[in-house]
Amino acid sequence: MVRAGGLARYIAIRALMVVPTVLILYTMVFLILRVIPGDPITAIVGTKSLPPEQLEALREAAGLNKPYIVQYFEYLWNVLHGDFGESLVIRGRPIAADLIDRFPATLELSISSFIVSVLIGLVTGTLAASRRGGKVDASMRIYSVVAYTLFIPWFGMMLQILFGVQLKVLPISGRLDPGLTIERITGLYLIDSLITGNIEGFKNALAHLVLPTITLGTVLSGAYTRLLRNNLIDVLSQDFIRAYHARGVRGYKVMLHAIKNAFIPVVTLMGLQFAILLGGAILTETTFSWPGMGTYLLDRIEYRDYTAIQGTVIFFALLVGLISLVVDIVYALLDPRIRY
Amino acid sequence: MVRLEIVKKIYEPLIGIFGVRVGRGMLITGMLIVLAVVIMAVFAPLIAPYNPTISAGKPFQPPTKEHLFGTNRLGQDMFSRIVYGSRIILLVVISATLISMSVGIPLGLISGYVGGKLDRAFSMVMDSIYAFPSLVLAIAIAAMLGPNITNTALAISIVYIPTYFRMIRGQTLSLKEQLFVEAARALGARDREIMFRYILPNLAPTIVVVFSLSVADAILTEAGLSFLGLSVVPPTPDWGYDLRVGQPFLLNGYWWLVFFPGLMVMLLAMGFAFIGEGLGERFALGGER
Repeated sequence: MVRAGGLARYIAIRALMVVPTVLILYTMVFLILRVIPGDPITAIVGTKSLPPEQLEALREAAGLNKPYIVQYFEYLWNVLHGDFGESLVIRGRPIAADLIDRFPATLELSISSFIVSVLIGLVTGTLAASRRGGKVDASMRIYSVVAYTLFIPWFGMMLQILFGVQLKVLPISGRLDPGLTIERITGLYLIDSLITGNIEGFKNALAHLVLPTITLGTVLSGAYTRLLRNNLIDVLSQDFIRAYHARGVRGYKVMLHAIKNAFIPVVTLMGLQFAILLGGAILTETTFSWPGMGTYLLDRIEYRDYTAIQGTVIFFALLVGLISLVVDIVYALLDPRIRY
Repeated sequence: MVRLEIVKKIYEPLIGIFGVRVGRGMLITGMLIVLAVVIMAVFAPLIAPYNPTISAGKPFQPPTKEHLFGTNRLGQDMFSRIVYGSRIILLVVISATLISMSVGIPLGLISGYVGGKLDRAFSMVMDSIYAFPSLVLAIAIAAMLGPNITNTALAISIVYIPTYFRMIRGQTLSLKEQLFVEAARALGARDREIMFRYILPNLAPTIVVVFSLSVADAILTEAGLSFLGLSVVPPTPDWGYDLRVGQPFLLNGYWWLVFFPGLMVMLLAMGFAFIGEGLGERFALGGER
């Protein structure tokens, strides 16, 4: 039933449904970080022996001296206000500042990889559907499994050896050559360099983005290949496609119409894939020394920076909730049948 | 739910198109790969020419007859490390998966069968964990527990519980409406009997397929954790870890340090994924991962 305000109502209900998801994830992260045996402060200090007063001070800085239930709500309250606590290692450094600093790098990598994976999926899926049942179709099916099982660090290193070490055409680590700077506006180098007219910076940032993007994009593309192939086969068997053929519309134009219709569910898959994308981004970032959230998390783990680890993981949880909401909204906008 | 439909669509079995042939090829290829790795793991001391944890010659030798896959920074034989490495990855992944199964399957069965509020609560928690990036979750758990293989197995097992829960719950929902369940109830079978003696055996094909696919995934997660330095400690031979220590030498052109360990990770994951794919088609059901 479609009625006025249907979309607004849908968005409101969806937004409310994100709340329990985020709460569950928050609780889970909280439990993992608190209940797992071993005191984080002792772990940070390691083999050093500190006087009890200093241990107590550290515990207080991490908010660990209060009862669990108080910690739980206090931290939740702070996080909802954008306060992720302070680093235990670099004292006084707010973790939120670090996250804001690192997030755009991960976002840039994620967006470009997403675009590449959908493009690969589009080409391979269309090929498979239009040669349905043939050798091409069979190879695309094998491709979709192999792409999924590509081990990101290995695939990335093979690209590094080929394009970075042998052919020497592309940089293999970082976001930008040392010595170059891009004025920070959004933190997305490609966009910032264009806004400020920094063409050299743009070219350099783009070159740095190529290999990580191909790595992550290829790994994610397999699922799109399958989804588009199966959707296209469904769509191609529908009446309106036959009507196009009957009216003498050229084959490739019919295909374009079919692709447009087969594309809507891709938005939902994008939401499902987001978790895999984030996990893959951590491996990709580590392989290519990409200064994003993944390398930040691992760096903090190395320093046993307890509050920073907690903040980063909670931030990931918020991100997952937010993305699932955005995906649902986009889906509703694309498909007017989806309403409450 | 729209999402479930889409997941089904992706892994829709392709029987009757060309599928049977391709699926069978995948199944056989996958089984051969997995069998080869299992043999390698079981007979590692007979296959490996050197001790994987001590120096067997000069460092950084490229592949030769004496050292099939070359030697690393410490002069350890890479081929022997890879042979022994298969033990670690199989041990961690299989034991982790067995733990996830023994928690996820009963929970999914009970949740789907009992229904109501209990089901809604379980599903909400499991769906939330499922939506969270499994690698981030595994990293957080492994980082808190500290690097050793028991903890890695534990971290991986927690991550894959929702996979089993969701699949089993979904199947139970449709199975419990079927006539044989009603017949069992009419015969006076108790709920527990119906769940574990009537419904569970019917879930076997699903479990086998989900097992293969989740093992494939867990292999990538285990290797990922050790690549990030969160799993084994040196000098344990481990594929992901060898990839990590080999990477700094890429610029020197020592490709064999990373090429072989990473290739093995991918082959083993691919083997299990092919088996899952092939079996899924055979049983005419969609595997979800």
